[in-house]
Amino acid sequence: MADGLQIGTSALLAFQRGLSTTGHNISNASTEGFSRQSVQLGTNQPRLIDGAWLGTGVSMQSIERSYSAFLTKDFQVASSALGQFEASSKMAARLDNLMADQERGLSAQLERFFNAFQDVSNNPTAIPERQVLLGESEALAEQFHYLDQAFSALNAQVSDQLATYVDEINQHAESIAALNDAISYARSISKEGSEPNDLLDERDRVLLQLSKLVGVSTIEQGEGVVNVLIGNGQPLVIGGSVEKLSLEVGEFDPLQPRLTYQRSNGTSTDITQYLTGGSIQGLVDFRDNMLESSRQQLGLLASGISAVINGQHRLGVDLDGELGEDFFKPLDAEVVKSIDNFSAVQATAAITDISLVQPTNYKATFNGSVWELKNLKTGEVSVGTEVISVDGLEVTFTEDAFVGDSFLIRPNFRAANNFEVVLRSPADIAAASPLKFSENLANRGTAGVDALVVSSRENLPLTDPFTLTFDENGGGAGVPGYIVAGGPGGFLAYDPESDFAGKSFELDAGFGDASIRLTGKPESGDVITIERNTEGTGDNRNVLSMIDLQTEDSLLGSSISIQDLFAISVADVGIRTRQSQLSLETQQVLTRQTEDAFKSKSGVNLDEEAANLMRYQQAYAAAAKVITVADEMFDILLSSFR
Amino acid sequence: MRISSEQQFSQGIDAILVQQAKLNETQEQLASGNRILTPSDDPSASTQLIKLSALIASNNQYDRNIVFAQNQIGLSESKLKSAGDILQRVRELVVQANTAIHSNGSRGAIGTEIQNNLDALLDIANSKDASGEYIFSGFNSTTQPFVKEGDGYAYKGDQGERLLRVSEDIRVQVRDSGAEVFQKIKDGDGRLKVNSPDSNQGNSTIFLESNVESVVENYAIEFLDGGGRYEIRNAVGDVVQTGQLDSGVQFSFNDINVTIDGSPQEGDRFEIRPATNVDIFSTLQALSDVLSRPADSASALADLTTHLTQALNEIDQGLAKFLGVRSSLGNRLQQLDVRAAENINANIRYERSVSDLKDLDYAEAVSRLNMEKTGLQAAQQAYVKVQGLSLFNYLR
Repeated sequence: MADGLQIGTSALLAFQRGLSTTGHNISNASTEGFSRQSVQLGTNQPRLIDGAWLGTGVSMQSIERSYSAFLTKDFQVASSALGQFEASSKMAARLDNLMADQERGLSAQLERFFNAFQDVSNNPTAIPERQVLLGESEALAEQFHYLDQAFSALNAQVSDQLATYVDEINQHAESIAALNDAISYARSISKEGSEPNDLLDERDRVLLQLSKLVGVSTIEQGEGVVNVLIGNGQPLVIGGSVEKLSLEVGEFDPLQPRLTYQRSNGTSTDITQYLTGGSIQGLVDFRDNMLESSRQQLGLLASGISAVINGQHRLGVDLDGELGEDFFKPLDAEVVKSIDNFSAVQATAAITDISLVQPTNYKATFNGSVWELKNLKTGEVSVGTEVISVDGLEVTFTEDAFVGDSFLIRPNFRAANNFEVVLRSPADIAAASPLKFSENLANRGTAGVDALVVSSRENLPLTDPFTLTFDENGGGAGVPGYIVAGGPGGFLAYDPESDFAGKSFELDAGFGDASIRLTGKPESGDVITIERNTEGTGDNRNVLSMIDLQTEDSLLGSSISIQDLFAISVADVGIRTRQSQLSLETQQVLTRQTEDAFKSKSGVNLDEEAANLMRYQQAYAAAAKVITVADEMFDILLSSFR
Repeated sequence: MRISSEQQFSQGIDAILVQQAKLNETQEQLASGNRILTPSDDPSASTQLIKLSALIASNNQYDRNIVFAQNQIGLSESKLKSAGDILQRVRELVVQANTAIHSNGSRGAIGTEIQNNLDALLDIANSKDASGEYIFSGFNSTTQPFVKEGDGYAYKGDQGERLLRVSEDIRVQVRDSGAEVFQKIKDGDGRLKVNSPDSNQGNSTIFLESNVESVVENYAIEFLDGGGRYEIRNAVGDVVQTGQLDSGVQFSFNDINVTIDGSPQEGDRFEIRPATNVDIFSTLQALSDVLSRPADSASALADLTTHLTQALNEIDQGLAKFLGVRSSLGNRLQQLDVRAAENINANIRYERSVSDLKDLDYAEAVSRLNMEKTGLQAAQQAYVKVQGLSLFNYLR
């Protein structure tokens, strides 16, 4: 009978624990990272009675959590990838939104800018049209500045978020270290095989949070301790101790900070490029690829416009008959010295041919004997000692470099920011061409000039006129042509019988490196005079040439026009954003699957708990009945003695 | 598979959120009427849209340029029409003057009228457009093109011809230089010019024509006696031909046909040279001057006839020049009309492409909206229904 009481009591206790655990599960059904727990019951040691083994009831063996190390790790890895794509596609969407308006923004302003040139060509003497052109040029500069500032703002957002994430990573590392200590203590005071389930859950939860920010790998060390490594094996948490991540000024640009790993001995290592996965990676990817690419393309557009417009404008003459000056501020490549350089070596870079400049950066590194200039987009390396010429750039280095010294060459990065109109007065717009021609009135034939185009400023403005005199034997008997007197000199073979529809010539070098197209049927002695264009206020030839620049394939190896370059960079943003969205969607599905597997293993099902509740309740009631029966049996026994 | 309650909850919520996001996107599309909200919605269409809107903006500019060019050319055209009318009137006056019935006084009156017409013509050549530019001054459009200098007129402009761009690859000339219009007019009959010096004593008049377009040399026909014996010398004094004049009968030398009427005196001569460009103003001035001078002697009257005959030729050259320029202007106007029509067509095409690329198919979008609405409702109802299912409901 005492047995009955004992057995009943053991069952009461066991089922009470069961009920408690069910209650714990129910109350934590929505707790993040909680794994459902279950009570493992076992029979008590039986007693040998009359040679037979009599059961002595039940007792709780342990409380276990439903947990799979494999599923948990899987979920962590998937979360890292998700964090990465979430961060990059969120930033990409902002850039995408920025570009969405540009059909009305920069692109439309480019149109207005060139249309203002058209209006000047319609009325080259009029000051108001010229004023409008200057106004539209300023507006173009503002558009460039606006976009550049928007890009800078995105860059700043990336930096801010990186700073926040680095803080969070360090906090998580602290939490994990503290939990490692707590777990190892809890295990030391509990009985063999009994795990501190809730602490383990909490550590897994923090690890998951950490994984979302940065890819980590974990190593079980025994005693329930987990070590966390990041990057290419840098320990973040070892047992109860923590190393820190920090954000330091970038090697080349303080506004593009790098992530460094701080050792306890005070040294730090740049691990930006070794980090894989997590929001941090997503942000760095966005900044270094998508945003950088957009900035470079915008910059190339800005320096392209500046260079080609200036180039043509300088070939014209203004209302005062003076040669045109720069329209926009000339933009050149930027050279940034690495903050890690030991020597005092200097480098300069100049754009020598805008049509060859690529939207990319270059990194120059001294290897001990030569400089290696690496195109950071294609990976192509050019080698040189003092001067390296590549892609329309000329990079020059001073002597006495140390091994490992490096420079970043950014041909376009700041161009949009530095884009500026330097022409101030409407009268200084060089609408006219510096040379003009006239056919002498006494000409008997129909000698004519179709076009006269200058292509350099050499010997301009022309001091003395030069003449083209037709002679049917000018090039020797029977060889008709024009004898050029003065200026570049030379002889232009021209046969009126076959060339009357027009024949083009490049005049000898100098004097504007002019080319001329002659037409008609001259008679011997006919003269064409070429002279400085003075008072040519009604001349719009140079403006017409400038209008052509809008659609002329002048950039990227003469493959694309100013007008189209921007359209391409908008498409580029669109495509990259779409790609990152697709990656995100794919990763969401993958992560959802691992999460499902994880939760299906560890999550609490309330119906299941309700069933458990009923099960334990009933068992508890039954156990209580056992005690009642034992009590009644005792009563019966006592009453029999009465 | 085992499902945790948390999963059930979050899946239900996720389904609702996804449906809401889709609905929101469709709603934005409907509100804006645009299929493409950001470049990532359709990167290639976004690029094309930018290019198309650039093309449309260019075309609108070309429309403006065309109107501008039409105004410019139209102005030149109307000025040249007036110039032609004036020259026609002068021609009538010359014909009138070239009859024998005139006294010095009545000829002088005609001379004065020609002078007045000359002034009117000069006004036309010096006209300005609405923005104050001289239209016949070439590139020197702020300089008055024709000014009187000495006996003649000087051209202060240059030979620049302004073009305007009226399409991607077509430029149309909108200005003709004064040199081209008023100066490049050959004197004489366009091939030859003959001069009968004041020193001539006889009453002979000369008529010439050249069989070749381009005469190179100068010649002089000189009469050796009163009987009509002549010799023709070239510029260096070599005798080209000698002969006996038969009044009114044509003879030829070096591809030049000559007819001389009347009886020349010894020493009378005619100087022949290739025609050269003379501005119409100088021609009219000379004409007016000739008519204003008294012509009393037979030889003076003969000179006058020779001069007037050539003046008629010169005026005809001028008229032909004006007509030539006008027809060129007309051609250009026609070309502009064609361009304008093509621009309109192109813009219609471009706008249609823009609309195809960008515009929302409302019917499709509205039905999509309805479908997504239904989807959202379904997700919400499913959530409520599923969440309502709990074993706890049966525990009491």
